[in-house]
Formats: sequence, structure tokens, C-alpha cells
Amino acid sequence: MHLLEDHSLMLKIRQGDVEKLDLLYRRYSRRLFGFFFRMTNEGATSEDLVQNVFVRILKYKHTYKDDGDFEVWIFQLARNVFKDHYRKNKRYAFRESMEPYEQNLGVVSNKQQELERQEELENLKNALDKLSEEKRELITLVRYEKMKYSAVAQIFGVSESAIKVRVHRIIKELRACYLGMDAESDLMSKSLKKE
Amino acid sequence: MTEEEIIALWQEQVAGEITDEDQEKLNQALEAHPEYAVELQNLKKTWNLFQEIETPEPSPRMDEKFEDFLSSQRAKRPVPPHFWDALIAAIQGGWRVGISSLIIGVLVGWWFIPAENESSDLQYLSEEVAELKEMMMLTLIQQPQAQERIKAVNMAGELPKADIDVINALITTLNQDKNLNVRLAALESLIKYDESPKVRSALIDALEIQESPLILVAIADALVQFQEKGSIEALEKKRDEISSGILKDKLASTIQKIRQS
Repeated sequence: MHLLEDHSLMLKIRQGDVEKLDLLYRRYSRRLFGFFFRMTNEGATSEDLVQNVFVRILKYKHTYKDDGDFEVWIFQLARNVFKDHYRKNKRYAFRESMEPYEQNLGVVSNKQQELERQEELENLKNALDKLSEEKRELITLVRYEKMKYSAVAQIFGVSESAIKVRVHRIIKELRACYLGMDAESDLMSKSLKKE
Repeated sequence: MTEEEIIALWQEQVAGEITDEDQEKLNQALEAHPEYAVELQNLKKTWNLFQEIETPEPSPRMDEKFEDFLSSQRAKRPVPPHFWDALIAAIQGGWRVGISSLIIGVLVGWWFIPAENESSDLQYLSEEVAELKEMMMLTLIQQPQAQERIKAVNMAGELPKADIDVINALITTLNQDKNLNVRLAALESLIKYDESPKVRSALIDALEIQESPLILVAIADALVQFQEKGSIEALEKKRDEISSGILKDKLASTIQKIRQS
């Protein structure tokens, strides 16, 4: 077995070698942050949830199997961390300021293009926010985390073909919602022009 | 083919998981059902729009919190540190001390090992050293300081054989590192793995990505050294794209040399 594979590192952690957690953190912390950020839209909360995942890795290390798939296991932990957080906080009572995180995003020079792009993206983001938690999780893992359908199927405990069909339906739903918003904003702009 | 099967193949296509055979099947199915083709084309626009949504970087607080957590876990451990842990700590604290200790250890071990087991044990030790070097390299290459990353890529060039993780790390560094010196060092290390088809193809792909004349000249020299005829098309494309006269001439002479080789 290769010394550096996630799986062999996790087996070492299971045996009590906590030092190996550092390398796994370096490999997965940004991906997990991205996952939680998509789910919560909250930077500081997402950072705390990433920390919780690594705390749970040590807490539940004995449950990791000899033939386990580390990527699947860590995202299963992440889903549970998110569900617990969601249960405790219900739907988010307040939204933290996104300013410190938005400063970390890229800068686009062309103002007009940037405005149009921002509008399109804003509609898509709003459409994503309207999805149910499970659908949002699914689309985040497939589209943002770029996980293979087979791995996502293991996380959700369903067949690979079922995952593909679900993802397809979610994209259709998003498109319908997104175009609806687009049409709405067009109508709004037309009525504003009349005034 | 049923609608569900077409959807499954399309999902594989947009996720980049489709095989050539399935792609052919999908093409035929879409030709037979143009109504699906139009719908899927529209859905692809939404699929592609996702990648425009950027994810911000976490704040440094996240890494600091994790460091605190890991330190607290280290402190909890009742047993003295394992040899490997001590070595990894040495790697993180000062890799020179770590590698020097390891080399001294290997030499002392070699001296005391009985003659009949000498070759097999030495081979085992060499493999262990190579694996540790590889681990150090993959840790250092992620460091924020360019100097550390240069050490990492130089270390990669000293590894006895090309491991896929190492090659992938070097290719990623060549194409994505912000620091020119680090990219150049990554290229030098990659050139040592000239027998790897992955390395050759990565250098050809890098022609399209790279903009720095220094890197482009170094890649061109490497391709001449490899006598890589498969690179001619990419070289010609780059030559036609660039405006710098000196670089244009350099690429033209590279193409000629490869053709003659």
C-alpha cells in the first residue's frame, strides 16, 4: 500500500497516529470549506464546520473500515456535521457579512460585462438557495467538488444511475427557476423603462 | 435507447466521465432524437454556468484553529513520539536536519547489518528513504514560501523513479505556480523523467498554457532533447500566436531541429 494514499494515512490515524491528520487536512480542508460554503453561504460558519469534521475524524476513527474509501467517508462525516448544525440552528436566523470572503474573489476589469455576469450568477445562486438541502448537497458534490457519480452514489446510498437522473432533474429545476427569475427581472426592467 | 439511458450518458459526458464508445452511442441517440439534443444543449448552458460561481478562500483563522486542535491532540498522547512522527516533525521544522539524520541512520545501519542480508535490507531502506523524500516533497510543495517550493521540486528530481503523485505535483506546479523560478525548477525536474509519456504530453500541453518566454524556451529545448515529433503541431500553433520576433525564431528553429531528428 502506498504510504501517501488517503486510505493508508487514515488507517495510521485509526491506529493512533494523529500526526497524519495534518496531511489529510491540507488535502481536504479547502474542498470541505467549499462544500459548507455552498450549503450555508456563511464563511465563518463554514470554517467552524470544517474544524468539526476533523474533530469527528478522530472521534469516529474506529468506524473507518479496512476497505474504506476515505473521500466517501469524509464527505459522509461532512454531511452529518452539516445536518447537526442545521438541526441546531434551524434555518439561519441571520446572515453574517460576506465582505471579508468576497474580498478574496477575483477582480474582473470590464464593468459592463461584470455587471451582466454578476446578474446571471446572482439568479443562479438564488435558484440554488431555493433547492432543498438534499438537492443542494447533491449538486454541490457533483458540480463543485467534482466527485465521481460512483462515489456520490455511495454517500447517498443509492445506485449510480439514480444519482445521474436526480442530478439531471435538479439541473432542469434550476434552469426553470433561473429562467423564471430572468424573465421576471426583464419584465421589471421593462416596466421601469415605461415609468 | 431509453430517455433515462440518454440522460445517464449525457451526465457522464458533461462530467467528463464518458468513454469513447458511450460518446458514440450518445451521438447516435441524439441524432435519432433531435428534441433531446436541443433540451440537453440548453441544460449544458446551466451546467457550465456553475463554474462561474467562485468559492472564496477561507480566512487564515481556519488553519490556525486546526493547528491548535492538532497540538492539543499531540499533547494528549501518553506514549513518547514514534520514530516516524519525530521524523515528520523534523521535516516540518527543518527538513535539512531530518534528511541528514536519516542519511546518518542509513549509513550506520548499513555498517552493522550482517553481510548475507545486506542487499535486501539495503534495498528496503532505500525504498523507505525514497518514500520519505517523496512525502517531504509533497509537503514542501504546498508551502506558501517560493523558496520551500523550489526545494520541493529539486527534491523531486532526485527521486530514483517517477511516481505518479510526484509527476502530477510537478505538472500542477509547472502550470499553476505564480512564481516563475518555481515553475522553471519544476520544469527542470520534469525533464529528468523524459521516459514518461505523461511528462512528454504535459510539456506539449504546457506550450499552450505558458506565456513566459523563459519557460517557453526551456520547454522548446526539452522537446528537442526528447526528439518529440508529437509536439510539432503545438509548437507551430504557439509560433503563430506570439508576437515576439526572437521567440518566434526560437520556436521555428526548434520545429526544424525536431523534424530533422
